[in-house]
Amino acid sequence: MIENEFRQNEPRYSVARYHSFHLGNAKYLFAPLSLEAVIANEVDLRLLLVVGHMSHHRAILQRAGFDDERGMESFVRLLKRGFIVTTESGELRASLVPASSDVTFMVGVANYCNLTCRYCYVREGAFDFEQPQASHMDNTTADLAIETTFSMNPSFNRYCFHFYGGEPTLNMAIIRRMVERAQEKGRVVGRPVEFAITTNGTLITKEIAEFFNHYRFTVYLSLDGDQKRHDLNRRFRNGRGSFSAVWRGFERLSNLRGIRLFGSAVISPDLPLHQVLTLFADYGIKHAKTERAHVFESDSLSLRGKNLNIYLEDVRRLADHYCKALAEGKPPMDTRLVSKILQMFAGKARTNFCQAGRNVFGISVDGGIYPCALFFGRSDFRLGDVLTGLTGERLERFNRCFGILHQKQCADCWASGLCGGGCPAMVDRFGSDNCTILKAEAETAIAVYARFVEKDPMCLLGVIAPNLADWVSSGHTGS
Amino acid sequence: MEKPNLSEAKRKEIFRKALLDKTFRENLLKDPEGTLTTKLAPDDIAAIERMKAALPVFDSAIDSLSGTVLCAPFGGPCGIA
Repeated sequence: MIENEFRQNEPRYSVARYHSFHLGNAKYLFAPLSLEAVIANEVDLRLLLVVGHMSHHRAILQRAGFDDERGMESFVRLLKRGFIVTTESGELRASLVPASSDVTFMVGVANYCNLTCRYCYVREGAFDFEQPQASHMDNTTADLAIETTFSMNPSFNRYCFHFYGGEPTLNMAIIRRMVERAQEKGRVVGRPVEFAITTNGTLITKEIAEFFNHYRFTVYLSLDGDQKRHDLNRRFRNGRGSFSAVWRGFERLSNLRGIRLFGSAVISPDLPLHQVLTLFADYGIKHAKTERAHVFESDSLSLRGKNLNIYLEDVRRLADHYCKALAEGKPPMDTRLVSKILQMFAGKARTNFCQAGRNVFGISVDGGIYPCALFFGRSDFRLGDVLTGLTGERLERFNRCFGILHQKQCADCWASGLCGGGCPAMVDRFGSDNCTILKAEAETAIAVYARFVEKDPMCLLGVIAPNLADWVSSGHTGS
Repeated sequence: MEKPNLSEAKRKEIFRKALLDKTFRENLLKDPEGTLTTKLAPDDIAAIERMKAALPVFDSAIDSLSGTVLCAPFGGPCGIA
């Protein structure tokens, strides 16, 4: 039957560019242009070696030594997934991710923080500003911010206001004011509005928790693992560890059904990724955002040498973490691979890591508009302010600096369609994002995709809605 | 009760195609039997109705991929905690 798929006059075949790697006991192949992946078997590997511009599939199979059904199945699979290409069709190419109409504003409502965490880029409210800044956002700036954000671009549809600091709960009055005004504004213009906050959790009262619950906040709660390690890095200004205070906040937030709670931890030599995920699971946390400390290599918190290898191994172990969760119909606790897996499922390549400066903006305490909160105070990238709006020229310059089309190291990289060139703030600050880590993440996502794509591709959608594909096909959930 | 004509695996395959191929989706929702060239049982029709309900969830996730910050999906920030 497969044989019928071929015509009498076949075109010439050749091999597309691909990347191969081992993860666990399996070898994976990834085609960067089609964003397709397979778990390679010996037939695949042999075929890819011999294809070179031959014009008949039978001749290729014979030369490979697999002129049988197995060889044929492998040939068709590699052809469909874009590893073998024809002179007629050229290489299969994924399309680009569509422009998003969602927009996120990361609003710095307080520069001040009650903690003095070792790795914090906020630098006690100084960020990268040349002059000292006010410690709190005021009413006028907050009101202007809401007006400006809703008039910035008529194509924006779903709005997310993500409150940031310093510690944002030190300025709850402004958060309440902005939430109520944004909600009202969204209602008037017919746009859905969502809210999120990144908080150290030390000041979460019952009332604050109820407020977040009422407005269905996504809450990123900073919690560096267990008490000993948390208290090493995250201390109050008097030197006391903050774990007990955070834990009280965590307990107030964790049982409220309107809150989507993420445990957020900074991975460092003292706190490996696998230990964070184990601890979070013990705490009953369902979603985790865990990022390595972004510091210069000379810093004791940077992951290098043995610690970098431990981290890379932990990232690779996430393949099993994701596959187990997907097979059980549960969302994976870690979320870093979700977009990459969905990109491969949908065949959509990205040219940028994120939409900073397009669909993501940061608004600083003084009303400055930046590509995101990580750029606060970097005068070259101040894109405007809440009074006058965006400056087109600055925005264009920012967009010319980052992304795979503008970064030399991305030109021939197999991972660029999945990683988008790394975080612009990190590229700006450190010269490049950590490509070794980004590639390890890409390979892990590829492995998860490849393990499901042939036997049950719809299972991959479990990264966003577990069991929904089962419900569609059977009318019930419960795999 | 009339026996369904589409297996669960086939329904998943149809759902995947409907998710990724907008023309197929349009035809499927307009004329399911004509598009699938098979007679559908009420249970199969119900499955297609469920597809119709579920498609926007995935559409929304795929459409917002470019806006999704890679290290923290669902509207989260990147960088340091």
